[in-house]
Amino acid sequence: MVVAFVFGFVIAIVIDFILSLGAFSFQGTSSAPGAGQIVMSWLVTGAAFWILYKMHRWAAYGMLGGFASLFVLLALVGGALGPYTCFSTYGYPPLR
Amino acid sequence: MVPVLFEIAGVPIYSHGFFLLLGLLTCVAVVIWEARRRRWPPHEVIPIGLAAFVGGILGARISMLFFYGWEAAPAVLVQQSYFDPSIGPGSILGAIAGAYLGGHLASRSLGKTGCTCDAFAPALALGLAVGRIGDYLSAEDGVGKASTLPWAVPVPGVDYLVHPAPLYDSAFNILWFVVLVALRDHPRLQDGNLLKLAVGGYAFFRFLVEFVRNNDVVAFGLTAQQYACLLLLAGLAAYYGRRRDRVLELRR
Repeated sequence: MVVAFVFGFVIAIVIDFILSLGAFSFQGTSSAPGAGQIVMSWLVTGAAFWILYKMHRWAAYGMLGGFASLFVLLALVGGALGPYTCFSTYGYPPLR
Repeated sequence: MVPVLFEIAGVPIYSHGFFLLLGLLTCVAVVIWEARRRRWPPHEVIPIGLAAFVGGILGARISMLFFYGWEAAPAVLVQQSYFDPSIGPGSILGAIAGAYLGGHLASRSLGKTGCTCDAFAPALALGLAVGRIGDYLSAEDGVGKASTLPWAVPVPGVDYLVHPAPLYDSAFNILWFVVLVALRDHPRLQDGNLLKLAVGGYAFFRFLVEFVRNNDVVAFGLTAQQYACLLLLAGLAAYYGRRRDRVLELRR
């Protein structure tokens, strides 16, 4: 159970790393992904989750744990280091 | 307003992100405390908790399409953007709906027919109460509508006082937490009913507090957030309506 969980956790980190590489550029600005890349990223993530779930249920839970950890570390801890709010920067949302 | 709470070695720690993280940690701590009290086994708490968390992340972002329209699509569709702190997690209403769905699916995958999710009910209220402090300190969405009430507060950028709407939310959720803790062992509030009461109570309060918040009115004098609250309440009413019909059928 623990091994399966850790395996799923690592898979989530690896998938995120590969997706990050797709958006990386040496110019320091990440390129906006195209429609194909977006569809592929969700298909790969969904397929990986499905395969892990079929292999061992706890591997799929491990993948959820991996994504939850990434979110806490990058989005929440990172969010405390900048002037960000629920869906915008400080003050009135720029989208409106 | 206090946009920056403190500094660590010259690095500013911003109030919104700090209280968002603290709210989440509070939520997790209350779930653990309540799960232990209910003797809810870890092999059920962990998968259901994780699925609820990831469901919450997705729901919070996906719901932005409902609130902001197609403009929000890049933040919803691009998977990497979910981890981008500059975009923010999204809406709490969407997070609640997504977490509920994620927890429900995980519960089914474990072969559970009933709902063991009531441990999440007080956690939701207390987590929200803490998180809203950050919304107030960061002056998110301009805090609230103009007000002349004695407790109205000044905000940067405008020369009038406004409703401290996030603090209303926080105060309600502290009170709601106390109510949910007091009711948590009531025989009729088991098997998922306490969580449904927690969600329904917050949706009802949020519908009311929206009248003093700065969200855009979309139709008939109501904001998209109010329509989301009405949808949540309608879903709960439909569930209890169907359940009552089933009970009446069994009695016949």
